[in-house]
Amino acid sequence: MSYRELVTALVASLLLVLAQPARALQEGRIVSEQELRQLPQYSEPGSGWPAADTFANDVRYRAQVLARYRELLDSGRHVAVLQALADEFRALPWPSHAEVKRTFQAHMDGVVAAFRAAVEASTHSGALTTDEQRSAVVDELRTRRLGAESLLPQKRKDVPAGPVVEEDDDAPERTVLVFFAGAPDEIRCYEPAPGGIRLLVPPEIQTDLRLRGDAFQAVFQHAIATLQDLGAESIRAADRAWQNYLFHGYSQYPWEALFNGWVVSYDVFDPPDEQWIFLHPTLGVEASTVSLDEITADEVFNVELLGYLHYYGTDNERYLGASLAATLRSDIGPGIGLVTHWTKGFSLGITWHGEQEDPFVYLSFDLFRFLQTEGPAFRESYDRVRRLVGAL
Amino acid sequence: MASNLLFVVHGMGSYPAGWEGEIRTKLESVAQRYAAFRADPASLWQRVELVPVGYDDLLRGTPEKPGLLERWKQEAGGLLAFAGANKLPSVGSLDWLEPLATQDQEFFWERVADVVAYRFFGLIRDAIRVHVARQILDELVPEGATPDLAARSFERGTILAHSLGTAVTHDALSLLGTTRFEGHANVFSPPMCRFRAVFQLANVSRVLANDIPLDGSIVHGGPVGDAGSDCTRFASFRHKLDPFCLVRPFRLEADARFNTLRTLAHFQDWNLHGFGHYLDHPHVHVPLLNAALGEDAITGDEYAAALSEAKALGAELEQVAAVQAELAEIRTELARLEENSSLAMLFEVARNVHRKLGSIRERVEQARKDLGL
Repeated sequence: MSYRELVTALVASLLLVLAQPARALQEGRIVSEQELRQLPQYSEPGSGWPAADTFANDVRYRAQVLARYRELLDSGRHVAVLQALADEFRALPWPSHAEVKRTFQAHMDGVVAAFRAAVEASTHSGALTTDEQRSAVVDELRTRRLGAESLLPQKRKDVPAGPVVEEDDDAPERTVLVFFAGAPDEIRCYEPAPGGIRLLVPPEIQTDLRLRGDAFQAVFQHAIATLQDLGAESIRAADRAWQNYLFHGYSQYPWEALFNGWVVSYDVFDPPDEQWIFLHPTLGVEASTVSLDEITADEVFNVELLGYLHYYGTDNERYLGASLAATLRSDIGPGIGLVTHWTKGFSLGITWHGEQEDPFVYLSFDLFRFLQTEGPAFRESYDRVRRLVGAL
Repeated sequence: MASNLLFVVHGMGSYPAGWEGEIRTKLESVAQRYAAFRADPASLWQRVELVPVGYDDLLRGTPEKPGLLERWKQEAGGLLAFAGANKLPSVGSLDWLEPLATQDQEFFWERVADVVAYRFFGLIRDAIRVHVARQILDELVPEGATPDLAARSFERGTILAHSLGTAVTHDALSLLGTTRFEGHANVFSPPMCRFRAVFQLANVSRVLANDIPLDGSIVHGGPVGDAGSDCTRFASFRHKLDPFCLVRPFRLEADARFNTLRTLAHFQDWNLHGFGHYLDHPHVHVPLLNAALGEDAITGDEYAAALSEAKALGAELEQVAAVQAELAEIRTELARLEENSSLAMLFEVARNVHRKLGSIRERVEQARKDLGL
């Protein structure tokens, strides 16, 4: 935006303020609660005001600010933008409420100064171009208690400062909208009065303050957007990984879940990628290893005595592992063997029952059902492997 | 789409898909008592978007995709066999699970099991915390190529939680506001972001506190710039006859201008611990609705009148002779609970109070039938 355009915009804003009916600028106008609801500039931040349908062409509106200063923002020069906004506010005289303006300006300048100091400590160029720089600035601003929310009003309870105590009374809770809540120079936007609510900050001035504060928040939001995107994606990835581990992975009985919670190393946003299997009972199928023409299969009760799984993939959606297992069946004595787990629902192992010469193949029900439908395609390969093993 | 967001986090029990419909109906019902919504209570949702935040999909799931608890229940012997043979270091044996499950199995699986799972199973607890944090963040920092900066105003958000949900909400918000993701500064907390309000109904976050301490927690109200708080207004409620709130009752050291701790004593429903019962009280739903809307749609005079009416209704019920004896027994039962009572004692008293309230309900319904009402 050129200098001429900026001056034109500032003069337009000034005329907008002065053009309102004189009574609207009277300090202390009393309105009813219903009338207050018709003045959205006294609503809480985030409730949809200011909105584009009213302020699309107002240079103070956040979308206008982001557009006017797009080049500076995209090159990381947020300090310059905040300074420009503070100077625009300084250049616009108010017809009344000079003390309110001074207070707001002081807080605005304080935010700009803190941001500048944080940026200068983090960069040589004065521009935020990396996430590491943005992170350092956020850390510094947190110690100074200043940031995106600094120029936004809050609705707090209209009670004296002091420790919260448990209440059980029948008095309604009263609230009040303030800027710089808790600070010695807190600005109260309205207060209860006989007959209604007294507007301590008139509507047009309230509008100006709200637009300025909202624009400041928009500049901060622009500065931290990539950090928020990174954080949000970390949380989403962690959620996917947790669900894959606990609900799509190999099941865990309560004692296993408790045991793994104690021994497996993980962080809440970095879910486990390993799982111990411990006294894990399942039902499966044992099949003889004679030719497929003579195969017999029996249900067995399988207890995995001790095993281990490792999860892998982008969101730990796959796993691989093995366990030492014991199988029990009604027709022959107990067996012992090794079971492998290599995809969801599929487990394959080999077991030996003492009195039997040939080992048995153990299959999970899912794998057994899969082979029943797809097995003939593998039959020739299976017989070829058996002939090769027999020749060796 | 409405700018204001009301995140609703459920408590213990079963919450299949669509569970938020009951809360929506209840909020419309209470809103309709006031002039702004008398003609059209559903107009509330033109100004506030209700966002259900659930975790029962992880615990109970659906018939097609059972959750962990449902799978355990189906393999019923597992948990009880474990209960009989094992001990936990912080709170002693789980032997007490067996008599609970034997005497009142539905009470156990509907109410106790998910509390036990959250309290004692670290893997489940952390998975739930992340799941809840993700659902909140999905509304405020949605996925997509073009970041809508205005949508990222956390001030849009009011969070309402009940019962077990209060512990889950506390933990999820604490993690959301303090974790350094990818090693960077946290940008989901003040002075960059602050929720508008957090309402905790039947707050049991202290009795279920584990590895995230409540002392020094950021989950409370505070002024702009205060990095030690994560919302503008925080309100915690408990009912004086709700057993779940008597053991290790929630406490808070914070500024009264931004925080509310309130004890309720109303009688509008037999389930004193219920989500709907808490919402029924004007001290809960008036500040909640005004916070969710971002403006005082319910006036101070309406609020005061509603409080007077609520007080009168409660007094009427206490005077009904048929329930006085039962209420006295309930108070005696609750007196068994102390601040440091065990979870086992809490669940036993809760089950007994639950039965007493059921008994009152049956007697009153029978009286109504006899009178032809």
